[in-house]
Amino acid sequence: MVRLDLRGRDDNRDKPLSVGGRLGLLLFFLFFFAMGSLFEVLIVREFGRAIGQRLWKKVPCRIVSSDVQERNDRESPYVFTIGYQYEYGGRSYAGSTYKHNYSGSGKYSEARQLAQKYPAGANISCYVNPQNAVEAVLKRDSPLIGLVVFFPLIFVAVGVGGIYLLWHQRPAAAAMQPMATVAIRKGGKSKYGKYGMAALFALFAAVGGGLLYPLGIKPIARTIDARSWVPTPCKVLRAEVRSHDSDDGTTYSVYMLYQYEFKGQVYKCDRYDFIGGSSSGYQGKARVVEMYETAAHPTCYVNPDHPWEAVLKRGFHASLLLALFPLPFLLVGVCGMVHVLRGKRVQDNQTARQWADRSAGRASSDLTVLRVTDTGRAVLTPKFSPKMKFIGMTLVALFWNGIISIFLVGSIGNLRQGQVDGLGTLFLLPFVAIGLALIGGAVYQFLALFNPRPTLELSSSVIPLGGAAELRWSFTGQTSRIRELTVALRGVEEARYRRGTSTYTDKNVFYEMELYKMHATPIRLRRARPALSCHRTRCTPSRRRTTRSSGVSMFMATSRAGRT
Amino acid sequence: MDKLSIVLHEERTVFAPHEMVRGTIEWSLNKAPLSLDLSLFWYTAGKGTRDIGVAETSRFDDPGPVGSKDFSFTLPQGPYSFSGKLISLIWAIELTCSPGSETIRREITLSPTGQEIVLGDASSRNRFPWGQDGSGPNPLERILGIRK
Repeated sequence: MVRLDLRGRDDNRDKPLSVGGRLGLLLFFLFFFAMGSLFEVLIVREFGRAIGQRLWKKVPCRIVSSDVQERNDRESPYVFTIGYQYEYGGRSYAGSTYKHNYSGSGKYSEARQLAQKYPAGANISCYVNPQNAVEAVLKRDSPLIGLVVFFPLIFVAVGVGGIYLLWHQRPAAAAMQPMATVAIRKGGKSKYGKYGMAALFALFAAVGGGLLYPLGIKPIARTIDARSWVPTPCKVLRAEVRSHDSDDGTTYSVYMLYQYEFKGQVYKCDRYDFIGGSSSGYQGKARVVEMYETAAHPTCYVNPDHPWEAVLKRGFHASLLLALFPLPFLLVGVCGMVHVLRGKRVQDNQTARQWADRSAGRASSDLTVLRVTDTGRAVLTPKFSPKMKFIGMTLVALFWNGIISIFLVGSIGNLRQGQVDGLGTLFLLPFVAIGLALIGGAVYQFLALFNPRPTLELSSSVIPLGGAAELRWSFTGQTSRIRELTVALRGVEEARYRRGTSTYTDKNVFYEMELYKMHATPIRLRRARPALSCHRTRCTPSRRRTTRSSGVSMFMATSRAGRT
Repeated sequence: MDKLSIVLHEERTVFAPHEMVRGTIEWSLNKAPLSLDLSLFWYTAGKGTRDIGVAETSRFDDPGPVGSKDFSFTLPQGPYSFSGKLISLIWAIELTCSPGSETIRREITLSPTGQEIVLGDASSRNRFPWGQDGSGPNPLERILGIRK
């Protein structure tokens, strides 16, 4: 027997659309089509230009000037300007284009890096358009834009497909839709769905892993490295709070351009801290800017090995916790992959196999036949052993507290030096609390190793209606702590469904019976065998167990009728 | 006009586990299909995600535009047809022609009691039907609601 889990409900999906609805959808799909087409044209044009530049001639050239200029532009105030000379076809030319479409930078450091890379007097190579030798660049456009050349086609396809289906939509089908045939077809494709999900989680893990170095490891490593940087008086040239608009709202960042002198040479730098980026909250950043603007002699910290590198705010502070941002992606990706690839397929459902394994040809309505249960014994053990829970919790606690301790040590170090960062410490407190809770969890799991632990054994994992089964149980651990023992059979009807992005499970207990109950002080039970009879539909034991303060009470058998 | 039909032997629709379902399929189609698929399966209806379990499938290749054929399936042990507060489990035999989606379905009941199992509500029942004196379970006939 094949058991398939088909998503979907018996909704009236084939309702014909109203005229208004159809027009609305038409506009929606037209917008998709138009935007997709526009972006496709732009990307193809850029890609064509990049490919064309691959045919330009590489010639030697000499840089005659290289500088960073400041201009009155809110978005890109710093421009790397360059002048170079080259010869082509026996004639001498002068060029000043670094790269096609280069229009400056919002950060001084980015423009300065280019100036450092292409210093005046250096002999390098530039690329000349053979059709027009006056046109030359130092850096050609990247053809990598070709990787996204098909991306806008998705929008075009959605637009065209939507419009097509809109006008060729069939009227509500009165005919019956096949179920079994569709289920068999979908069942064959399920393994591809599984690998698709694994690929999606792998993408998550790759994004998390890829971001971990630039956003996590690098800022922390530089923070540690900057402890040896030299405190140097500096002069703030520009201080402002910059706003960044996005779909999720406006975020803000601190921008500082400052000048300092190190070993007789003047440098400019615009690094405020190592984490960078932007976040919500304007007031705090405005206070920082005001503090530096009004400070008579602010201090920056200069890298003695690379004196053009400096930072205004060094040491560990709460903002560095943003370095942990890629970790959830990495964890979700890795855990998701493991879960999807190791998880059982629906078709491999044990219960379905048990139904199918029944020998055929025993057709009879004789009630005596119903007492036969031959599907083999079922041992109910916890999904995760106490040892696994303890090891898992300990590892998680070590991992979390290992990272948090870096910030905690830094924060304590700042406090010892008299630098009180109230907001940062407040921000750090919840993370520390989680770390303490994890340590508490590890201790709890350690103590739980010694708790009395039941093992239930059912003579048959599937009990037909009116059938009988034998239940045995045994305990390990400190059984002397047990004061009360209850074994119950519970039949639960479950319906799981999705509404929006959330999954809901409705339950209805259709049967409940206490099979065995015992009070004793203390109970010295090692094994007992109550008879178990299934009164309703299929009875499948579960591992559910509840513990009361007075002892142990087990709700061990549930009859699951339906979709789980 | 396309027409498919499933005629069950003696018009019987209630079966016990392991019993054989016999019948005849008939088809009259405008165009000869490549194949006809006949499936014995169960599905859930009601609240939540739909589950489907296919017990057995037969395929008839090149059946021609018009014809009939006898079939027989042996029902498995379960799951039984039931109706609960949230969902129902329904057994059916389905005939589909391919290509296309012309389909006919006949619902049957798989139950050892001769009728669909109706799930109730535990709150309305005594939680200790056996008593606490260890007197053992009720007789099977009483459990199944069968009167002698």
